[in-house]
Amino acid sequence: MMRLHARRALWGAVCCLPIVMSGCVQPAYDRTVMYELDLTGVSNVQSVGVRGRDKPLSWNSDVAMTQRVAGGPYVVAVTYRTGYLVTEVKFTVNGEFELADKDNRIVRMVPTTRGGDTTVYRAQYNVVP
Amino acid sequence: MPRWLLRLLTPVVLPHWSSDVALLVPRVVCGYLLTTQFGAPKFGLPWSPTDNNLGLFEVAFWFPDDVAAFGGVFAVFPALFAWLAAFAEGVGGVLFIVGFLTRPFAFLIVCTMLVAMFLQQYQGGLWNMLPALGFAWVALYLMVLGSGRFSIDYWLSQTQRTRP
Repeated sequence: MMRLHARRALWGAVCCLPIVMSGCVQPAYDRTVMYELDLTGVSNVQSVGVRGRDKPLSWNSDVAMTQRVAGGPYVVAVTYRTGYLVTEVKFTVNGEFELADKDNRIVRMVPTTRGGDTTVYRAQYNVVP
Repeated sequence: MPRWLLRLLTPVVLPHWSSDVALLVPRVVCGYLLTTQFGAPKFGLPWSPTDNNLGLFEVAFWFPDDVAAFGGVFAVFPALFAWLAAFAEGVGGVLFIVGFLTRPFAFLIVCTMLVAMFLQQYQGGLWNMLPALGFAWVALYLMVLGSGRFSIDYWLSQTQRTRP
């Protein structure tokens, strides 16, 4: 009888395991980073973009950045669905990466559990922060 | 200690202690690499990178999605399999180093590495499969032989056997 109860308890625990484990996943939130890139001194600019480690960015294709004001910085807002507080990026001009053979830029995001907070990341093209 | 647990823990002891030292090296190196390089970035441990923002024993937010992409039963219980794989690497690595519960964790790591090889890295070719393959080989011999003479398993099994 005791063995039967023990076996039932064991099976109950095994069946509950997926539910318990799903609670052990790191929560992810929407975190927005506003990238602002200063291109002073860079000529013949056809396209400007940002690439990075975490979705929606990737290292293979640009997310385009645009100028809101003539002569002003190139900007784009990227919203990550992430649990991390940092991400890595590099900027591109005409499809060419900046900071060749140097480390990626580390972007630290605002820690929030509600989402909606925006981090502004200002950078100068090809200048190590 | 129940007899089945004693049998599970008791390692095969090689004829000379130097042979056990030779087998200790891959066990400790693999354990260290598993817990620091593979487990810690995606599983909440005291030595996980702080920037990854992981709570204790929490699995990284992206890992269940990766596991779900394998399809089949992995898509039904992605959080469970993600947690088990990350737990096997993060905690199993530490237990490999100290040689405690070596056989059950070696089994978990063999399963994890088989999934990593054939469901995650197979498309990338043999070169991409090599890290998982290396861990699988080491875990396979640990599953068969146990942790050897220099381990908590050995010490526990010896103290249990010498009890009246």
